[in-house]
Amino acid sequence: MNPKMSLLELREVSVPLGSCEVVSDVNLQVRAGEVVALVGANGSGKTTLLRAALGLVRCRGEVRWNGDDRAVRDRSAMAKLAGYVPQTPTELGELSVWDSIAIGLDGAFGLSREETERVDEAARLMDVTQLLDRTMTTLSGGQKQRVYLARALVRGPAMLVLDEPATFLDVRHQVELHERLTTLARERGAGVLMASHDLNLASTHADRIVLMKAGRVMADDAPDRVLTEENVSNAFGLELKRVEVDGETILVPRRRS
Amino acid sequence: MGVGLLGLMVGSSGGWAWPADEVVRSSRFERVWQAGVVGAALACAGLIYQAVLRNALADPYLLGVASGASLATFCWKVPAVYAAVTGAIPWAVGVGRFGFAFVGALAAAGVVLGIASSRKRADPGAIVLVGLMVSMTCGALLLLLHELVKALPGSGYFQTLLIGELQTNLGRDVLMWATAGVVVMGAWAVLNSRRLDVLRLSDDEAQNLGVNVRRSRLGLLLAASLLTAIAVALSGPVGFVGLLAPHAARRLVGGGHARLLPGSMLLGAGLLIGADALSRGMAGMRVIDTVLPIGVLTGLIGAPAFLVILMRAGRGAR
Repeated sequence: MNPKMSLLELREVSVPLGSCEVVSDVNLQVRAGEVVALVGANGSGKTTLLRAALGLVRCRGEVRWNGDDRAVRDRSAMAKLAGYVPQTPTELGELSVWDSIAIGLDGAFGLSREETERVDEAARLMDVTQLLDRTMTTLSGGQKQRVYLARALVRGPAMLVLDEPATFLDVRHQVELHERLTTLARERGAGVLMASHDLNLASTHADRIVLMKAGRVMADDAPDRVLTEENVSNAFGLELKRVEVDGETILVPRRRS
Repeated sequence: MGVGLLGLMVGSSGGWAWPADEVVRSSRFERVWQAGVVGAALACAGLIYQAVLRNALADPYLLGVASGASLATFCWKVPAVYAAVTGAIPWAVGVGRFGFAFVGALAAAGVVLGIASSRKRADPGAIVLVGLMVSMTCGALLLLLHELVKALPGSGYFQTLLIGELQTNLGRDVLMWATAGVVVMGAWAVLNSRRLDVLRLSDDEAQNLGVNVRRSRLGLLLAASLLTAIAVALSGPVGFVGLLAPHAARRLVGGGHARLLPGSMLLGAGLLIGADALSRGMAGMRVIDTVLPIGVLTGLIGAPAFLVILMRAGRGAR
């Protein structure tokens, strides 16, 4: 896949809700092999922007997938282009892990050999192969999250769209998840667009960070350039300081007096 | 198969043997056949409602759909009412017993879902409450209609349409049509089993997996209403089968609809055949003087099971 190719392009996208706009005039590109993190305070429009990109909410402006502005209205096309994991995925507790992943495929008459291989491949990529026979209710939060990611991957989408994928994970699983996403992007050329609340993880694993405030993009650039003390203070209303640790910059909230 | 054979062997006059008399054998065979078709139809309908409405408590009886079909079937059954309906709606002449039941089922489902969906996110209990309201209204209208026309021929059928009872005078052609309808709709549901799996997810997740949520939901609700109509047109609103059979099947074969649909339909058929055999057996052993309507037995078994499922659904919601 051409790494410079733009998988997703949003041009002047606005999402109206009643008399106000939840997202206003957003321009954004995600290329193949790129990890892009959307960060911003609660209510800044991250989830709505992701849903607009997937065609799940009506919006103004242009949403282009692989340069095509009609794809977003075609459910079958979108199923192949983007794998989506919402903030709180629906848990179908009595399903096996295998069925939970295979649900992402069509297979009216059961799965073909190729589709079965896809389920196994998605399970392998998310390291849930050893869990395939277990039911979802028996899994930990981290294991479930990996199953949802495997479901999103099972059609072999060009891009993963993830809404706060690390929310319910402990710190080890958060790091592992971000490493897996980075590997997917690097080795398979998949694009990743994820909303995140963890500025440090986003900073260490994303190629670009898009900082949002009140439905608008405040900054869109490399992590070091976006996550300045001034930008973060402005977006979150909180004073943070940048600290260098072993050559990496981390953001630490300043104690309020 | 075993339950079917049991159903053929149990008599209402105290016998426990393969019926030697051709007439008795034929009559029992039709009873078992009818119970099997009705049980399978209600189980399939219940399972579809549960998936499409994402509601563990959904059931044709509790949603009021069966009562709507009952009321419409009564309109078809009583000549005076039938004449009044076909006089007002001329095209209704051609639709017959199943057509009337289908229209009634659809109307009831439309009212329940219309009221329930007027709240942004109707909880499972609220949908069942609206269903019970529709069910009680249809039951009251049925009683009112019966009072108005009870002197006329055909009105004796109303007990069946109020409680649910296997009929002995349907004829094999009616059973054949009903069986064909249930087999076709059941097969169509199995073909849509993955879609049923996906519809249990949120709308966003389902759409992202390539499913047209609105169209799929509508098609499957129509199918479930048709299955309910077939069952009610034969035996009235037999309660709780559509709730019990899918929940029992889920424990046996897991949550995937490809296995769950045939499993539920078999269990639903077995449950009704078994309940009918029990009813005849109790009459045969003089435990009770008469063969109880099948709806009485399913109600006695189903109500406590409903409470268990309701409490589990409540725990799940928390």
